[in-house]
Amino acid sequence: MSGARTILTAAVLTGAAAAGGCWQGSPAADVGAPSSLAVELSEGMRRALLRHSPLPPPPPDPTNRHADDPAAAHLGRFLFFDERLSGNGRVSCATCHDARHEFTDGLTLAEGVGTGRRHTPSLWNVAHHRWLTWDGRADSLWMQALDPLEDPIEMGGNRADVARLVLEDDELRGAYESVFGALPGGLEEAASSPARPARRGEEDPPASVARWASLEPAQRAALDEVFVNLAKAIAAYQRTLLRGDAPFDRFVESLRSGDGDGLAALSPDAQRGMALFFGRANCVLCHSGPNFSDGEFHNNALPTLHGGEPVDAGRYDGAGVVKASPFNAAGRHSDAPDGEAAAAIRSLRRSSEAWGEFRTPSLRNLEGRAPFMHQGQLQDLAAVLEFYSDMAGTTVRGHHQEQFLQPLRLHEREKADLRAFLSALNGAPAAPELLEPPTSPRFAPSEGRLRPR
Amino acid sequence: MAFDFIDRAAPAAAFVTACVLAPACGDSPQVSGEGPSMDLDAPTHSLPGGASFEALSARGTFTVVLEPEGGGVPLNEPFAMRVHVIDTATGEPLEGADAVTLDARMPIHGHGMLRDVELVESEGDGYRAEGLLLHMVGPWEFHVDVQRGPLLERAQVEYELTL
Ligand code: HEC
Ligand code: HEC
Repeated sequence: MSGARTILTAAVLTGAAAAGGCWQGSPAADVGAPSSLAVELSEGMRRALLRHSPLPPPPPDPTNRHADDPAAAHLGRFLFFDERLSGNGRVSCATCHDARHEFTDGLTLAEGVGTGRRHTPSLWNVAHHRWLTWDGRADSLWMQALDPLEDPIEMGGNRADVARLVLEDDELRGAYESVFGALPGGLEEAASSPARPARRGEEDPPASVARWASLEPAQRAALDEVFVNLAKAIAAYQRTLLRGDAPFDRFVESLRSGDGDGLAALSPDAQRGMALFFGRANCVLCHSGPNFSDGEFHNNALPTLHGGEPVDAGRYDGAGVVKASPFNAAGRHSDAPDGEAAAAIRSLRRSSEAWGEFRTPSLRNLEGRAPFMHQGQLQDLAAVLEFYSDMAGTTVRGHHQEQFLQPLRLHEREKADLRAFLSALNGAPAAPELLEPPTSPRFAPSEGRLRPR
Repeated sequence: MAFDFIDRAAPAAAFVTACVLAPACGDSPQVSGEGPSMDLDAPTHSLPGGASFEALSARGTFTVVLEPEGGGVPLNEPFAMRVHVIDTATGEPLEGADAVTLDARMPIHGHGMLRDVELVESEGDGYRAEGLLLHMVGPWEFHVDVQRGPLLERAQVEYELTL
């Protein structure tokens, strides 16, 4: 009987793992009961599992007064798909964060106006992160949204053109004003031709940069206000991109309630993978919490896409950028400049050990999200597990950098089990209207709150 | 260089007495010393009623007592802690400190807390450290450095954070 064989395999693995001294799950001694448990759960394991499900609502974002305003989210959803925000009129957020492609693009490196240097992350559950992007150079979703709009490689737009679009499109203007109030005075003049500040390290700045420098402070403030408000609307939309309710959640719910029905949501393979994930493989060291990310930064010493040594400073740069930016949680555009996020940014340390660190991605909803890692350098989940197993091709880490990862030397069976567990983290599909733009930016309350289930 | 020595070497660990003062808890925090794997069944330190941890400084001049507010150290969430620095000779709060700083590190991983913690002195009640955040399970060390004139002396409290 095939069930007995699986248990046997697991017993062999447990024996091997016990030598490592950290295996938590062991095969159930009694095959018959409890019905659908393929591994035995220690108290500690049970406690750990309960802490990883369900996925709660995302933490509030007091830096954005409109974070949970349905009218703002509606406008944001319109803007997210609007290619007019880009310099060439052909790129929107959704070009790279393609809603039909799990809000990523299937590419190794992002392609917008030009080719980026990093891989496009999926946006599912993005509101659960305290730092945004691979290097955490933004501390709120709205701060993050400002960046691609003006990045010459991503959308190549500028805040004056964006403001002019709002001025000239009556529907957009109406939607904007119903959420944020009247457009600031003097905007027409300020937005009359392209203007934006120089970007870090920009060598050949376009004319818009010189024009920005020539604007009056009040004109710049007017452009910034509109720019930030549009970003806050986009952020409100992105806060609705949530997917929990995975087979793993049904399994944990069943553990919690004590009724055995939901245990079958995890196949025996997935349960063994779960025991590995929380046990010997210790993935939970970094992929912790209900969103399966600690939200912080680590250096996995991955082989680089370009071959050779890594050149991307990652968190080391990101920490410097977010701390210095006037658009962070402590800045004048924040709606809670004295809140918790502001304190976090003030106390943020920029340390050399952060060189080459990237933020731990969430492991919920991995399906359809390949390739993986900050350069998209690993083509699929098999390659990811291969990497954690052998750590082949790792790049040299500085002596001051963290050393958490050791090759796990996973058996093929264990890799299959881990993959089964990872698939059990794919959540229920989101509401279909989240995946496309509304016909109008104006919110009709009858459309209801945009919240997936 | 303002300090004539910095006492932070490994032998300092020999001086450390890390113990839980709360009567409710018989298990003392320990450093496992092994790799990154964790023991999910290790005793948890999120104790109702509150726990505190203390350690003698490297030269024995003072003892540091750390009391996490809310009874325990949460994983990956901001928390605050009371910090008492007691003069070994008198048993009273240490006087004459020019600066007291606190940091948290994961020494075996070469990794640490990613925030600068501010210690705010509260009248007659030591210091309050805000905005602490330990983002990973495993062996942590709290370092409390007291600067007095040209001297910097450290007390090091070990703490095993569990899931
Ligand atoms: C050219 C492709 C491209 C476009 C266009 C683009 N992005 Fe991104 N996005 C990326 C890449 C690449 C990253 C990772 C950036 C990094 O780490 O440096 C990213 C990161 C993000 C993140 C952080 C996700 C996380 O997990 O931290 C958010 C949020 C985001 N983008 C939202 C947007 C929004 C909103 C827009 C439109 C205003 C947009 N993006 C436009 C490619 C793109
Ligand atoms: C030391 C912390 C750490 C541990 C332990 C760890 N990860 Fe990761 N994981 C990360 C970081 C950081 C990244 C992103 C790395 C990068 O792009 O440079 C990542 C990326 C991934 C990705 C790619 C996700 C994406 O969206 O690109 C997967 C899948 C993954 N890890 C699974 C696992 C599994 C399975 C384990 C256990 C075998 C594990 N991780 C252990 C920190 C860790």
